[in-house]
Amino acid sequence: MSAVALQKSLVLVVDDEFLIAEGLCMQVEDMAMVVCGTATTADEALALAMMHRPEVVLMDVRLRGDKDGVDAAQEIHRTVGSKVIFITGSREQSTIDRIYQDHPAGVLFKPVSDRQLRSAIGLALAE
Amino acid sequence: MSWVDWLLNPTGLTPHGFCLSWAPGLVTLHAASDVVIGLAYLSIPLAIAAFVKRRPDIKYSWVAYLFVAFILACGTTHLMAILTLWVPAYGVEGLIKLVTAILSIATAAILWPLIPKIAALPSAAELERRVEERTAELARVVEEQKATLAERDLLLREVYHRVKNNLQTVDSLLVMQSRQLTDPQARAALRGLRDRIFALGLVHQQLMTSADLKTFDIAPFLRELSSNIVDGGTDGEVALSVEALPLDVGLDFAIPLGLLVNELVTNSLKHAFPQGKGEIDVNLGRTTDGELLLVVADNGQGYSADPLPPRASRIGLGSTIIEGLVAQLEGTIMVESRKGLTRSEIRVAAPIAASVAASVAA
Repeated sequence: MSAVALQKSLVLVVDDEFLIAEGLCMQVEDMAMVVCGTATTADEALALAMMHRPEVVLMDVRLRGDKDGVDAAQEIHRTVGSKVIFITGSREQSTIDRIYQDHPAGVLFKPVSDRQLRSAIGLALAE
Repeated sequence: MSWVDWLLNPTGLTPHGFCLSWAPGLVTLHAASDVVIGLAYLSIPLAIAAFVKRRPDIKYSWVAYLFVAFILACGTTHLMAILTLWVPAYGVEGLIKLVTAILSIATAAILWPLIPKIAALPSAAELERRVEERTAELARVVEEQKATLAERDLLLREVYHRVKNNLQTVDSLLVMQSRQLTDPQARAALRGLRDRIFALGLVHQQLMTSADLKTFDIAPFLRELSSNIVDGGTDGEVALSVEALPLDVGLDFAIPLGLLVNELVTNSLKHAFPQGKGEIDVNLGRTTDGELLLVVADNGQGYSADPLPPRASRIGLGSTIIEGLVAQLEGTIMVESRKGLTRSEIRVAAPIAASVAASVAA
């Protein structure tokens, strides 16, 4: 996937930690993509996704509130159809199993390098 | 008449049969009955002795031997009774009765005080119950330990998770800071820091997926680490080959080795290929002495053609890290560089005890 194909793609970042969300946004922007917003809860993520219809969502699993990233991803996938890439700090089997209940376009483990992010988004958009 | 004669000399005495007027029926009745009793009294103690011998675990077995002796003595008195029907050996018979009497009274006297002790011995059913109780207790302990272990695993995973999250936060801070900088050198320095932090994060990622949460195979780790540096720093014109022997390592070994590979590969990437094209080889093997041999080589321009003063790149942060980590691993490093080949060779003792030491510490 060349950098050109990623250009101007709309990305939604979901992470309840400000610094991590901010870092991811900048990583995404440095790849010449556009961040349409950041959300810290599942409901906020769904609202933003419905408003901006992003092509890609970078989704943390543990979120503030009752619903987690997998709940949000399922809703977004159903209503908007965005490609969801999970970014999690956990490699626990229970978390992985939960993620695969959805149809993730990719799964990345923190810390996420530029290369991992670029190739995961490239793969998701090429699907 | 000496007492020996009195005991053993039957002269003047009449045999017992005389008292029975030699009536054949009576003599036969007495003789036959005493034969049967005598034989039975020989057989019973032999059976008791054989039984006790086969069960050395039985408590108070000496009492059984006392029974053996006393019954044997009883049997002998009956056999003597047959003899005295015809021979008046009453002295010898009396002596045997005396021995029997002593054995009998001893057995009788010892038996009474022994009764409460023997009665206190646990019955088979009681023993069975105790075994069951003990088994249940052991099963409970095993369950508790399993639960403790599971809890420990959960806590360890949680710790690794938090470490990774914190590293992600640090990485984000570096990305944000980098945005504020215009100086390309400063940005490159932050880029270098991000790579080092990624190496740390990768170690924790491997640990989280390992079965024992302590050790993991270094080969896939080195592959992912090196690919990340090379793919992140070029447009794909630098070919990378990573060969590593399968080796289970712990945190203490993986972190310095990972950081070493990170520095060496980054050096090659930064300095070897001004045209942006070339090959980098990473190889981790074992020497014939059993040491680990890490080789990072590139086919670039070498130091001599470096546009910077030849030694400038060797005294930067990267070199300090390399020298320090090699020393930490108690290893040695040899570097050769000429046009077309720059090769760093690091020898360190293999962490044979990685898993052993970890389990001892635990």
